[in-house]
Amino acid sequence: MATEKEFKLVEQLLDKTRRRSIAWEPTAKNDEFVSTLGGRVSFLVGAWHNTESLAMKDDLDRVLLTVDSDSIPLVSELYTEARRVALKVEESLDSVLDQLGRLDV
Amino acid sequence: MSHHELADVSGFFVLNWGNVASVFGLAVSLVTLAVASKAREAAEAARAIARRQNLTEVLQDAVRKNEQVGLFLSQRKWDIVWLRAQETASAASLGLARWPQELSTGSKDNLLRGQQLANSIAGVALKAAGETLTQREIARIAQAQGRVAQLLATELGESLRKSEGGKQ
Repeated sequence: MATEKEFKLVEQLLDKTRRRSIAWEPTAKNDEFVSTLGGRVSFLVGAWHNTESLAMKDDLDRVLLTVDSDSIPLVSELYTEARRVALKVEESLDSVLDQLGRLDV
Repeated sequence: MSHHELADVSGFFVLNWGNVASVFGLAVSLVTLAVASKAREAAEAARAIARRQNLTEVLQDAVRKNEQVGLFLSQRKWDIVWLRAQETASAASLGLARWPQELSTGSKDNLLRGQQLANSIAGVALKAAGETLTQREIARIAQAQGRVAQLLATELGESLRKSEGGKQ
């Protein structure tokens, strides 16, 4: 059962990710993305076994908490947004739309 | 100076020898304090340079270990990739734990990212020891290794710059 603070954390991370205040990047693992905050904690978000999960770790790589989309559905949205940021989906879309636009001229 | 004036001065010292000694003692104490505080400042600066130098050495070691990850990745020697990636992650953890005051928030973020990316490389290398990786998976490891190299190089450069600045 997720706590109120965990809900708040996911909500805030999603908001900051949408505003592009938090940078995500892909790890060596498939469908896993990493971000850091304040030089103290790192976040890993990924899709494993059809469930999206978020893990928060400290600077010694100890897992502080993990939540998944079963307990907090917003984790699923966070994963999608983080993936878009990490893989620069918006930039790719802009570039493709620009190229498509030029084809009509 | 006349004999009369000399007598006055010596008379003054005879009458006020205690006060004169106190003033002299105070002056000596002030000079000693100034010298001691300069010496302490110099010792602190030397300690700070030594600490920065140690951090630089740890970062240089991490850069080398990560280079070896790239080298053994190209040779598909997964056990060594796993080992070196773990060592790289550990070096980043060590930097974060031992030099929190020397590192800015941005530098800590870079080391944290490097730590997590190196860990993810170790995780995939461990999997590769038991099963064959696809070209996409290998490409992802190579990309992560390149990013770790970039992050560590940034921090090593920053540390070297500050070391050189501190020596001037």
